[in-house]
Amino acid sequence: MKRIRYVAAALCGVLALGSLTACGSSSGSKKTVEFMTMQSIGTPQLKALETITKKFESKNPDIQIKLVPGTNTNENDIKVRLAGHNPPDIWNTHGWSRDRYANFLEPLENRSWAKRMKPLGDDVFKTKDGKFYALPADIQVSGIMYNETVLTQAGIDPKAINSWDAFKQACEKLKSKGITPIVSSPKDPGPNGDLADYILPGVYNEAQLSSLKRGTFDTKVYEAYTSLISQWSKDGYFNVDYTSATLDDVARLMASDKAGFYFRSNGNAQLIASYNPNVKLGLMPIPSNTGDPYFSTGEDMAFGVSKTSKVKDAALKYIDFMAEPENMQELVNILMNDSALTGVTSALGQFEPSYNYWVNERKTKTVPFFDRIYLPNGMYNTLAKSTDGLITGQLNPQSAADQVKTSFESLKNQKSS
Amino acid sequence: MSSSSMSVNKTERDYKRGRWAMYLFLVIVCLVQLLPFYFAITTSFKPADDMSSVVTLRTHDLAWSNWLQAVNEGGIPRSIINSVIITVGTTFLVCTLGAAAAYPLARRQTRCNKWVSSFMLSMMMIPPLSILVPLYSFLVNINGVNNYWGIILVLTATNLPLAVFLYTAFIRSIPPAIDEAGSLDGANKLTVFVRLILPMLKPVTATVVIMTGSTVWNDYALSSYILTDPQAQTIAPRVASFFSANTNNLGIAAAASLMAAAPIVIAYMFLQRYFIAGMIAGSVK
Repeated sequence: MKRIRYVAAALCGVLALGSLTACGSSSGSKKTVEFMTMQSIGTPQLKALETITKKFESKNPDIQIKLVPGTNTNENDIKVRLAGHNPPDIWNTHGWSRDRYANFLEPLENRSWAKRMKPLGDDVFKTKDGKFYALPADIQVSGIMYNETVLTQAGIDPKAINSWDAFKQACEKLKSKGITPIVSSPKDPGPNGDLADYILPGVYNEAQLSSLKRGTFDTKVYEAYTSLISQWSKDGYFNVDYTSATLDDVARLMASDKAGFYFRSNGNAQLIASYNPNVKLGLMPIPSNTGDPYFSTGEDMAFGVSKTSKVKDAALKYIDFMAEPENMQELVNILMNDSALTGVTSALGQFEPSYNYWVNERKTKTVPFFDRIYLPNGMYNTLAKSTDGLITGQLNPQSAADQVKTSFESLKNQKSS
Repeated sequence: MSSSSMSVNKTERDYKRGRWAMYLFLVIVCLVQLLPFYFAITTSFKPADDMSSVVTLRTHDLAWSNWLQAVNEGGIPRSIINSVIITVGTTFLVCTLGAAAAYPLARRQTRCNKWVSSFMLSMMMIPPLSILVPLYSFLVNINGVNNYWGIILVLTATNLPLAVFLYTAFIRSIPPAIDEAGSLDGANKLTVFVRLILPMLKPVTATVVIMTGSTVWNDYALSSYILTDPQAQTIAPRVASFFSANTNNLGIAAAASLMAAAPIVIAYMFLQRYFIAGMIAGSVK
């Protein structure tokens, strides 16, 4: 019995001590700002944020910024915290500052740096009345990422790929050389979701887009996309390890010059380059059935301040500090996208030549991310799952389109009810 | 050679063959069990740009930086301490409350108690994540988020039904005559439970400790929402922080996972005698 008492007493002591240490961060006179970064430990993105934070804390000793690294479930984490009325003080909105989080975020159009926003971001960040809810570091200008070494070996000129037929011919050339034409992975919604998100704007004409925005989903139009993916799958264009491939496997294929095309944003080149710093990657616009090739644009790394934060002033002060050109440059240097603010030099890395050619010289048109504008919130996962079904052959073009229509109508009704 | 000695030799040969087949089978099972550890070890010593297969063991320029980063940037030692505190606290509460709740349920089989037992068992059918939002809101209101006691209470609640079920079944197998003997000697119900019944629950307690301990140590689903502060995070959500939407750190994550597994593996090595006894408790009456 004595022993049990000792154990119980010791445990109570440990718990009491433990609970004190666990909540020690909220004690003292310092204001603590919780910042959900959405970046994993050890990545250049988190290191850049740590550098900026250290500078800020040395200039503002009464404010402590608690950087919380991210996981794959970040968006769910935020949703739960918003539902529980306990959002972090600052969080990385990653594409959703206006369309999902606007009701929870502090409007930032009156901040001193707001006038430095580039016009390219107007469609992406701002509402019709000019409000916006996050400090953007960069603007995603996404097209088809390609491995330049592989395309050169197969005698393919990416500048000549201006239609899906030309893209198909390029895939055939790659396949004949034993190179995987297109890589994707079902382990994360990203690759398949982006595949749909990038291709769909070129499937619809203006009238069809207006109809979709009004809430009418035409499966016949959507089947132009599902038929394309289904045919690519039947032609054997996707990586043979597709069903088991992780994001790392796909990145390794691109890094080791074994794959040609990847439908993902430039930021994903970080992971590819971590496997092979000498890999040569480029960016090309997405062919369209209804017009000229285009790039998809959207919000990438952007930081919003909770409008219910108890330390809103401190959080806004930190955001203003991040927006200063020298601090923002730290972040933009590693994002491989166009900077969202003037006074900050874009650092597109190896995408610089192709980006300059397409965006600055050829003035390729840009369209906003498809799901953010034309589909109800929550459709991205459906896009990813139906695309997965097409690649694995579990869905045919019609059943995939029907699946998307069901989800579209269900989510649309939820939104309107 | 007589036919009887031949048949003895044949039986011995069959026996030896059987033993060898069993050993071979055990070796294969061991290899299958050890493979994930081997892959984790090979991965943890490779720098990010080493694209060789996980099967290949790197023999030169080992990437010790992965281990250092897991400790320094990942804060793995801190998260191991957090996991130990939360696992010990939860397991202690589950065992104490489970045994205390099971005693009256096992000894007084009234209609009400049967209903209470069924109700507790039905709790096991509810997936914890289905009540996540109300649970999280409640914890926010009582300031239980990012505190040890908050997650300990939640994990105790989710692990308690199974513990009550196991303790109830075990206590029913203890003859009620022991309780009666204690009562005759003047002990009240509490004394009978603490002095007579509790010491006899060691085998089933070992089972509950193993099941609760491993479940709590490995818990990710609830801990990742309730413990978001890096200083309070347990090992599973911490390891997940090496993976995000665009970038992963497989080498560091593998090193962190190995460090996370080490305490459990060491504990099992020293306490396996009790664990095995606990696991087979109840199978023989």
